[in-house]
Amino acid sequence: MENEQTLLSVGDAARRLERSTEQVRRYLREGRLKGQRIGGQWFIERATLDHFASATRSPQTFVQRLGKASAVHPLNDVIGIGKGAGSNIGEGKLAYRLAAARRRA
Amino acid sequence: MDEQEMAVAPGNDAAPPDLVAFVDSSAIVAMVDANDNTHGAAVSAYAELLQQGYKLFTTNHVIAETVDLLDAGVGPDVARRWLRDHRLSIYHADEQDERRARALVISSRNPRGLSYVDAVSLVVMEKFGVADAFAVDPHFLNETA
Repeated sequence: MENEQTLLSVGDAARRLERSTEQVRRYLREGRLKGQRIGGQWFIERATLDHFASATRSPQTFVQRLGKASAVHPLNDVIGIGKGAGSNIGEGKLAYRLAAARRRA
Repeated sequence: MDEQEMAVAPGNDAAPPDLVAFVDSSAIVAMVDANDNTHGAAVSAYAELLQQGYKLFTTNHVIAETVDLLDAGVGPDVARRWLRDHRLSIYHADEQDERRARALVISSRNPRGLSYVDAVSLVVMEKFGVADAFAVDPHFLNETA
């Protein structure tokens, strides 16, 4: 059962941080991430890693990782796949729901 | 609503270096439902976003809302097909986002109220410094203006 004192290997830490194992070892060597060496191998407490992860996670990271829509075409395959009863979502989501409910009644 | 109004709604001046727009469920419904009054304008606005090099994303809350709206408006088969075939990037709101959204809903002075989903969207847009929204719901656009 994993708890805050659970020791994680460099590989586990790399997976959790979405970094390479070499990058994690660099963090450890530089002292940015606190770990302990046991039998020549680095281990990191889970709570320490969680704290490190939240401290280093930039709020921009998610947005920076996004691909341009012109490459992803996120909605191209769903354009016009439905044919409703002539609604107008431009009147608002609430009005759209009410109109749909009235049609069903 | 005409195409001029449908185009990307500008928000505050804190735009990030990349062009990023938040996608609201109203824009998705407009794109999916070929018979909706706003369909043509939404498709044009989407093409414009792609052409301008925008990155698009939404939240897990908007995904849920979209399925619900499509289910009501064009039926569960279309809702399921949309869920299967869209490729939007999804940001999962965390505990802090939800705490802030809850506070926004509770303190909203808007006589129409503020939906929880819209509140999460506003919080996430602010968090990432995203000023543009792809939406056709006038109430959501007003909140982001």
